[in-house]
Amino acid sequence: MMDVIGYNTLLALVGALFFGFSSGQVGAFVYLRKASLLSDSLAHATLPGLIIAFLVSTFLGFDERNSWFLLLGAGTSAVFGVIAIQWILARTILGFDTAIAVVLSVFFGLGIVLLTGVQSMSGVQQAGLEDYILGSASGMLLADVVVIGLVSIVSITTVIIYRRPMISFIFDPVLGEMAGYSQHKMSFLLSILALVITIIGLKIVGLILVVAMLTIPAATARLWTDGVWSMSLLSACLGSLSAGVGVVISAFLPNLPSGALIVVIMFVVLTASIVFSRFRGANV
Amino acid sequence: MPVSAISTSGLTVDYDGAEVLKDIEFSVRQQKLTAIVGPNGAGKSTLIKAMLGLIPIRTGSATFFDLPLKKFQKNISYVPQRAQIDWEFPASVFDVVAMGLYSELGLLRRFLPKHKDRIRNALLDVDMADCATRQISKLSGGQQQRVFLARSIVQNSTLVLLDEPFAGIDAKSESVIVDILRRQRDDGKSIVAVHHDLSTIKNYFDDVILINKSVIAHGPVTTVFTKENIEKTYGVPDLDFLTGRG
Repeated sequence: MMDVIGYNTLLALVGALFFGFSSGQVGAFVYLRKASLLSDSLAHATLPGLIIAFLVSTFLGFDERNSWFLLLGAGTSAVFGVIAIQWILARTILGFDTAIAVVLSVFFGLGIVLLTGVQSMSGVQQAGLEDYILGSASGMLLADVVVIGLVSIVSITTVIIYRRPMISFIFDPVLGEMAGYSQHKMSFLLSILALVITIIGLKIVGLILVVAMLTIPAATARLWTDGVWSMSLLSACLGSLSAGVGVVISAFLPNLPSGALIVVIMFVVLTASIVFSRFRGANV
Repeated sequence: MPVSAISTSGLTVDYDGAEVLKDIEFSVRQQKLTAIVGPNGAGKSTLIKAMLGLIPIRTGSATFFDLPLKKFQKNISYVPQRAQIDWEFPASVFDVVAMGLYSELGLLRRFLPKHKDRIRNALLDVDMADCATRQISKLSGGQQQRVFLARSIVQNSTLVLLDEPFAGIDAKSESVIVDILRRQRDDGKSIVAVHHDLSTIKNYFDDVILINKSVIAHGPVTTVFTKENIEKTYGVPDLDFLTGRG
């Protein structure tokens, strides 16, 4: 197989299959919790931290492709985004949608300002930063794929272990509370999973489109299934398949960002599902 | 005297700076059907949520069979208001009743044939066995309520709390639900329901708690559910139902 698609593509494919599966699985719960937009703001809020981490690593003399440090910055930034949303909700009468829109756009705007600043600096080799914005699976190193694979396995296992408390939390929170799983804890767990998935997806799909991985496979799966468990499994398979196919195609079309390609493939599957599904899940 | 199923002392709850419940003191007898009654905004649902630790209590406490909530909560089943549930959630009738066993099975233990039998039996109890595979979005209001009752039967809890179990359902379902609650009581369960229809209190319930921000009266329906106490609770003299209009 390596002869046909090459080592880099094979690496990217393995990463994409793992990431697609874990993001599709978590995405099913994000979808049921109606938290897709929250995930999107989380993804956009990664940008300032990503760029600050890039600057810091450049000045400290790290290899600028040292991705764990950049991802750490991205994650920290996203956590600040969530804190900002909570702060707006607690301190004002503004609604959830407004808080999300404000934080999403402000963090992203701040990130773009920083990015433009970095690009105008002489002597800074910023190649690779765009990879995190639109996704560039072909630029992945073995270390990236190892991180994606390990985090995916942890995420998949966590969802399997905590599926019952998560179902209770989303469907009837008091049932979960009485069983000893507080809404606070379960909400935190689901947010952490969405955050972690977003972070490992930056290199493959990019921060603008990573929310699609948490949303479209789940929405597609919902059209075909009527149970949480079957939905999350189908969503995971669809995510994995779309990401895998997208990465392989992008290997042959190197100018196309892999993230956009994956989203287009998922869109095709969703459209076909809307047309051909028996509409069981859609309740038509 | 046997231990009270629920006993509160000095329970006070604030919401947005205002006192919603003040100095709530009552006890609920074991193995009785008890109604919590009061006008809109009296704090009935808030009271249940406060007792279950879902909203913060400023002062006071609630105990269940003389135990604090944390030590007793696995023996409580709670039937939420239908309006609080997302009925588009992808689950069948069977799936929802199965959730009643989550606490007992923990995180990983599998559903065995004996568990599935318990779920089927609970569905038989509420006359919903034919609908086991149906999506919950396709149920009528009364059927939805019966599914939740089946779930509480499967939970086999000592104490069952219900928030407006009769809100917005048809007369047939209402009588089926009353029968189920009576059977659960006769099996030794203690049942407490938030209720809004004064005309059915005498028929359906053994005991009543009248509240309007604080407890007006509590005890057996026959002695406590008087014209005077109802007037004190509602503050209006519209009591036609007592003379048979309802």
